[in-house]
Amino acid sequence: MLFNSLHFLLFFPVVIGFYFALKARYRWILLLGASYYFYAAWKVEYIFLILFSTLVDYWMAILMSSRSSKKERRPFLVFSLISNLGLLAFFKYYAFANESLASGFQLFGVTYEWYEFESLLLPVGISFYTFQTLSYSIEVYWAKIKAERHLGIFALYVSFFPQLVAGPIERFTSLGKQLRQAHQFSIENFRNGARLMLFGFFTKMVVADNLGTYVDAFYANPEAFDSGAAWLATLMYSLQIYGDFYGYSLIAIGAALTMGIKIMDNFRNPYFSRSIMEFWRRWHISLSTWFRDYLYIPLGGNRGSQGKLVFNVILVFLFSGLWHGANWTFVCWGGIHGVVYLMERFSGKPAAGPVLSTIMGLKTLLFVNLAWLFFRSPDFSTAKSVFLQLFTSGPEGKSLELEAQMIFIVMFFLALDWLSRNNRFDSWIAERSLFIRWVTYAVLIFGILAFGGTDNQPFIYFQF
Amino acid sequence: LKFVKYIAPRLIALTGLLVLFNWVYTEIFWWDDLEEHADVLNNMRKVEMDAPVLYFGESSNFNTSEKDVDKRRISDFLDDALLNVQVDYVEKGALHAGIYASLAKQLAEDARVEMLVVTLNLRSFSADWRHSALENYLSKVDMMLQKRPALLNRLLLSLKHYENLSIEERSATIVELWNTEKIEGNLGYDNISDWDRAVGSVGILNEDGSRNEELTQLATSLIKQFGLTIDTSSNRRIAEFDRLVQICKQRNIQLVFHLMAENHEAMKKLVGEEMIQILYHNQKLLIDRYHRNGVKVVDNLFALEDERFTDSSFPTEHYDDVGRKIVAQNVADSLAKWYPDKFVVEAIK
Repeated sequence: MLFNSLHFLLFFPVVIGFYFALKARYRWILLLGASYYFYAAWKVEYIFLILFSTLVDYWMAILMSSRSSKKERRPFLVFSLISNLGLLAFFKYYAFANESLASGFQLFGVTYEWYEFESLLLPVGISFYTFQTLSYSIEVYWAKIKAERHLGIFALYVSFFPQLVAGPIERFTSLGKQLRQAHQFSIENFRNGARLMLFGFFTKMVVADNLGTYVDAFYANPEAFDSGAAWLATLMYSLQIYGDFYGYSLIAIGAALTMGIKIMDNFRNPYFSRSIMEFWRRWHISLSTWFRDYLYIPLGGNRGSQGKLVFNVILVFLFSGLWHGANWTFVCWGGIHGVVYLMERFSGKPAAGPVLSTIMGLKTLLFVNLAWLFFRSPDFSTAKSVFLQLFTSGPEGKSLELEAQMIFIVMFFLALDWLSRNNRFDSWIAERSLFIRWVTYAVLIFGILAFGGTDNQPFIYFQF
Repeated sequence: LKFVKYIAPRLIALTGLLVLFNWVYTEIFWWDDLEEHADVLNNMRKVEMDAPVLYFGESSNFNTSEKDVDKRRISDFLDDALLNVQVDYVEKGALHAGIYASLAKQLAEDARVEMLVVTLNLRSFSADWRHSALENYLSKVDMMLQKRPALLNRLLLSLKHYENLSIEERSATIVELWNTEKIEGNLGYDNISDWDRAVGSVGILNEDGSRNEELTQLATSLIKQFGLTIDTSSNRRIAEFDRLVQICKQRNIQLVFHLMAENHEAMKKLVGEEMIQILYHNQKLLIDRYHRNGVKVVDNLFALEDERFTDSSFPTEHYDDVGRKIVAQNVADSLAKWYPDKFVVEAIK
């Protein structure tokens, strides 16, 4: 089920109504049923993948918790890793790996044949719930948390519908605990949740989906456009992907908050970062911290030699790229972020002062924009041609013109993003006067009702 | 109670806002959105309020051949043939009964339309057409034309609350229907897939015995487009035509179905007599069904010869000028025969 569907707009109030009508000890049953329904509305069969991951990690954690040493627990962790990553690898990377092998062999004149599964669809959200459940297994292995004995609560942790298909990737210590608590209805939570959802719907449906139409038009035939259009499309894609994922995260956080459940923030105004290091503290925070905690630090982090540090950072960024998609363009995107991250790390502390900060911010924004080229392009040749197009223009190239209402929408969104840079949107709006609040609500509501994007623009991160 | 006190004034304020927004949207943005997403409605807006006869058609109405001396539409020819009444038209490629019904509902209350002539296209009953890629657009149009607050329709548009399927999903549905929809009668094939395979595996042969790929493809296309025996209980087109019948009854408009001419000669030559049997079966089924419902049916199904069809690689209802003139004349003659006191007809020049 998509958040931006009539189905969800009917489903969600019903769930909330029953949630608070039920006694707290039965709520997990409702939420688990609702979560499976939410997922099955997309494809019923793939529910079994979630069930499989749930059962494997539930039992492995139970088995680990009864062992006192890491050595004894290790086989169960390995089993959990192989099972979860195996599924992920099969559904997400099977075709990619084989195509890459075939291309590699072809260089040596060897034909490599492999079996293609024609009806193999990437299960929506598999990367998210796999990483979420892996974090649980790893923490039980490290003995940081105890294994959850209540299968229902654990299953709900894996499948909690607001963040099931595109995160934020939650830790058991936070979400699992909250799923057990008896949340009373709170006007404060309801109000803030509704505010976040409203802003989230605007960000996704009005900002991202409309920008997506322009970006798609450009990428359908980049050669037909001029250099200005290439720059505009690149900038618009940056805003589209931000609006798309940020909007989704806001709806997820808001939906959970109306039930009294607090999910971690996933974004903190990333495009106002002054460095790539800062950008990664503000962009897709739940994934960055996952890689930090479960890959970077176990690899040794920044301890040891500079060579080791370089290796660890590059490896994490390459994996991060690969996590996003089964394509070398994503790996390249991760790689160049890693290289720039290291360059910043070795070049020392950034200079202070408002002017220099602004320059650093613009430099970071420029780099992030250019790097998105690899993310958006279906292949390297498109990325290369769009990159070259940024600096050279064909004489007969078309321009990409934004409609006036689109300019207003983008400006309004950027203004809200800027104004709420020190707070989350719900806190920021709560501190405004009644007039400002309602004018903002009015613009958001009218935008959603009258200017939602009309082309098919599925959540970009669903494919990951 | 605390929550009710909290929420009630906000809900009232929100309701007031929504009413205001709907008014603003309808006044300023609605027609631009219709132009962009449901342009066929603009054709409806251009309909002459005084025209007593309105013709709804798909591409057969306006498609012309390069060789045509006369580029007039079928509806233009009809207008010329009926001396004493004005005929206006609404047209758009791939239109079908589902949209016709929604368009008929949009007719202005004070419009003088007494008779609606709509194309009854056998091909539109096929799985291909029922689930063609154009259906996304058409179902979007249908959704936009529903009589609801304009702002709600606009929201539903952005929520994609219409049959909005990917090409892959539609292709899969079409293949499934080809595999599962039974063909009645003893033709030796259970379904379209069987028939398609049987003809496709042998192919259409040239005189020298070699396989003619172009004609083989046309033959298999004909099977896929016309090879079904219409199931009135499950074929959505039937339900849509039935809805149109009901709307016209409510509006007191006489409905006339124009059963479109198909290339029966090519079908007989490339696919065989079985295909003609199916055409007869569907022809009888539709004419009987709609006669019972008080609808007049002008039967042009076998009215044209092969040379009148302008597309040779794919089955369509695109006719040359002579073909368009013939079918229009038949419609005019039928109307004059049924309503001699209403229509004065002459041969189209």
